[in-house]
Amino acid sequence: MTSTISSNKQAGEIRAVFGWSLKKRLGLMGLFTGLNFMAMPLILFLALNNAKTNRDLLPANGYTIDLNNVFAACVRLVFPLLVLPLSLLLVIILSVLLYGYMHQKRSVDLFHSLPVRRGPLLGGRFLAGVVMLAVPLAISFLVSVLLCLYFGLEAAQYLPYLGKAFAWILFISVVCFLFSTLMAVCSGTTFDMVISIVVISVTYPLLIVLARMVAGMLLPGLMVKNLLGSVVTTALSPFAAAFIYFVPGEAGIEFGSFGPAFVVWWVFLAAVMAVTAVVLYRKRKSECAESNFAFPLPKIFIRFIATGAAGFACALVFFSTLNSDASFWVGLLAGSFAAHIIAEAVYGRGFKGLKRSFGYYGVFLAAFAVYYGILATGAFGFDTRIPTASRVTSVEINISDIVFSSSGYNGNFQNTEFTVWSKDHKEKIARVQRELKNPASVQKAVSYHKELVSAIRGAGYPYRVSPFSSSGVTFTYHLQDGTSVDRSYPYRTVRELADDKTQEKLNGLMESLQTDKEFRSTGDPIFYLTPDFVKSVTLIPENGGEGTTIVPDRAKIQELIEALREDTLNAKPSTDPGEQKGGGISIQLDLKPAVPAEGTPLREEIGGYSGEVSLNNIYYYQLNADRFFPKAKKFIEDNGWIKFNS
Amino acid sequence: MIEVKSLLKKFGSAVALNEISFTIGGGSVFGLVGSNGAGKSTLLRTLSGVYRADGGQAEIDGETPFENSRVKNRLFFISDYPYFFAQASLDDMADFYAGIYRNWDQKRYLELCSIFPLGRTSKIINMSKGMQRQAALITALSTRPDYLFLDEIFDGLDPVMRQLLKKLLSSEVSERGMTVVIASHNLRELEDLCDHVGLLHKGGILFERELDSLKLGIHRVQAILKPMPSPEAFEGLDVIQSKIQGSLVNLVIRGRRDEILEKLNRLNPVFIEVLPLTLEEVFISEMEVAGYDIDNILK
Repeated sequence: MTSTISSNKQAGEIRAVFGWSLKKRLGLMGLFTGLNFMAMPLILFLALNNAKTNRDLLPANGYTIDLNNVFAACVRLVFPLLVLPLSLLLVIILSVLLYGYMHQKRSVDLFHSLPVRRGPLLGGRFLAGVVMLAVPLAISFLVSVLLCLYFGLEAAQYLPYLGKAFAWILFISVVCFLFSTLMAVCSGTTFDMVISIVVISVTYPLLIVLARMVAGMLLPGLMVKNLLGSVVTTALSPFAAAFIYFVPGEAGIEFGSFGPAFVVWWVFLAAVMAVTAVVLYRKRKSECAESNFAFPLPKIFIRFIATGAAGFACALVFFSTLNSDASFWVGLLAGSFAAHIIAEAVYGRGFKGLKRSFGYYGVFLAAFAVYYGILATGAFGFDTRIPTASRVTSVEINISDIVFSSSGYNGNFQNTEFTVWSKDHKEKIARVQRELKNPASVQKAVSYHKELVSAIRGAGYPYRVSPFSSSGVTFTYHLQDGTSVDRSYPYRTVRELADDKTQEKLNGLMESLQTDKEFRSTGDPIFYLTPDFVKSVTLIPENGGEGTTIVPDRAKIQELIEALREDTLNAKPSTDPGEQKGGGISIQLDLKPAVPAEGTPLREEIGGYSGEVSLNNIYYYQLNADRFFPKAKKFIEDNGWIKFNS
Repeated sequence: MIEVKSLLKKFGSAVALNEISFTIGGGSVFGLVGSNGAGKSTLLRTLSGVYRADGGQAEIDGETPFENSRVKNRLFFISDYPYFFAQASLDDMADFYAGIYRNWDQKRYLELCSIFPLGRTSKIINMSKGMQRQAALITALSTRPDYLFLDEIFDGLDPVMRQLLKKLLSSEVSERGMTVVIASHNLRELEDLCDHVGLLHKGGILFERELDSLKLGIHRVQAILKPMPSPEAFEGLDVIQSKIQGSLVNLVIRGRRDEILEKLNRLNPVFIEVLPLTLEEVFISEMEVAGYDIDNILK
């Protein structure tokens, strides 16, 4: 009975605060509804209307304009560049307007003496903010859907786009608003609140990205991938995370699709922030208004991440400019120390507490020493942890730079992975990569990997920072227990550190790996191709002029495919970089959608997909170089498709 | 009834209220006086539930006001610088309070608006300091509070408005039994309005007493004594302050008027006059006793 009365009373208090807060800011909501209308439905209307007019004017040319494509191109730009920034701007404005009261002594006197408890006071204002965020977006969404209906777009095309994007923007805006609420509760002034929001939003992702980059530069084998798209990069920065959703990434965080871990994390964090904000607000001392902070933890955290981000940034700038260990350390200390002093001056309104704050700077230095120490000593054996060949089910190898092994094979036969698309090229059906499953092939990979690790460790231990590189060799082992092991090595590591003898040994092992049949055939689309997919063949002359397109019969296409496969398998490594890439006559296999025949490798790769699939066109350069394409060259000459000069 | 028991409030390491205790009966007008920084505003904010006490209790009818909307519905606090929403008019503020306070009385609001010379739709931010206080008073009294806490309410009000305020408060107290606590340095106005006075100094309460007994309990004596007796002659009198210039003696003495006269008459004064102190004089003399170096300050 008591709890019912209490909850009724609480609901009444929330209603009163909510109603007043909303009523007072209806004008602002109207303004943002108008701005949102201009950002999304209006631009969409103009784009679609323009495209429709052009389409109606040009029917005779055979040139068609797909309004669905115009719609997709438009929303891909408008959402991240206009709709989302507008919504986030509204979050900041609402935070200042709705929570500014707790940062002024005069307004605190009024609001905290009202017969409204703090939970409902904060909750009512928060809900008013959520409604003000939702209404402009909801109206934009509805008008956009009506526009799509008017222009006759496919519902399957626009509804998922619009629905997911608007839902995401609303969701992340609410999370950002919760984050701002928490910052408001912890801050003593509105200035500090805004500064805290901005500093965390910028410096936290920066710190994570830079720390991961430095880790990759320090710890051999550590694969630093998906720097922007990972959940960790924006884990504590909803304002940054809001944009990451619209950046295509490797982790499935692509426009219109939800990475589950990404969303789950934000739902969890939103709940934590909501509870924390209410609990802290109930504990917040009214007299903290106009002070530097109400709770010191955010200040300590912000100072730490700002110090760290500036330290890493300066260390990397100094290191990339002067390229010495000392420059890295000087940059780290200079950047972090300056950032610490600036953060203290901003939050402490001067240098009064500077001396006392150096204790926190010491904490940062200690944390960095631990971080560096762990990585430089191999991260508890991470550097030497290579699975034995018997535990490996398969291994994917990606060699992204020819200089790595001084072998020409990789330069001219670059097709080591490809994507299988749906017929219209809009949906990814499968991604086929170079993957070794044969035990002998796996053993070759493991042998090379072990020798590589041994060479790197032998060249200098504990490890030191080396220049960042995203190219080199990457191993992804899939183990029998279902786990996988990723390791990546920049090519410079080996070239710069290993002695000649070790280098020679490594080259030998790499050559053995690269001449492996499975190594050369898996992931290369020519080994998955059947004549059904080939529409025509285009031969492009050496000077890059207009090519000759031939439409051979099925048998000829099969012969050409066989010739190219044979050349791929038999290509000799080259030690002359000049021979390796570009130039010469090129050949392009112009492909068309087809259904992969039963029993073919491509059928296996696409699994249960039953429709037509598309592959990207396949290119080969330097077709006139006998050492790479003797079979293909002979076949083309024999058929009189083109005459080679040499 | 307001009961303050060992109330402690700190701002960091500074003690604003140092375990003070006193009681304010219902239906009274209590004046809070004290030096700057004595803790008057802090006490009002604690009683209004703005501040949470760090120790002890501040209870209104047996309940702590902090985070207690039931108690807060019965009280209203006007701070020394009343806050109004940006661009808000009196009607806007009334609209806000009407949605928050259960006892909001629209009829009373309109009545008060007709008494005070304020435009209901004018922006409060453009009003003078005194007019803003009037606006705050109108909204405060319209909530029909049982407890009204006023911080420096006389500040900025013209003499007519002060009289009006005193009249309104007196009628609310007599008709509804409202309790008023006023913190002010304007002792002259408090003297007219209050029935009880509490003197705060450096976070502690020096005394809390009925105003009449306070005023009747301290007297200023001017006497001409020839010859001037030795200081021992004044023993037996509770002398708070004394000044002797030749044969003229100025004394502030605590005690009953007839007892003081009887003792001084034994010294055969040429002239003697015993006057009750104004509240201001009581304040100054008590503060001096408490160690407030008034002479040094006024130098």
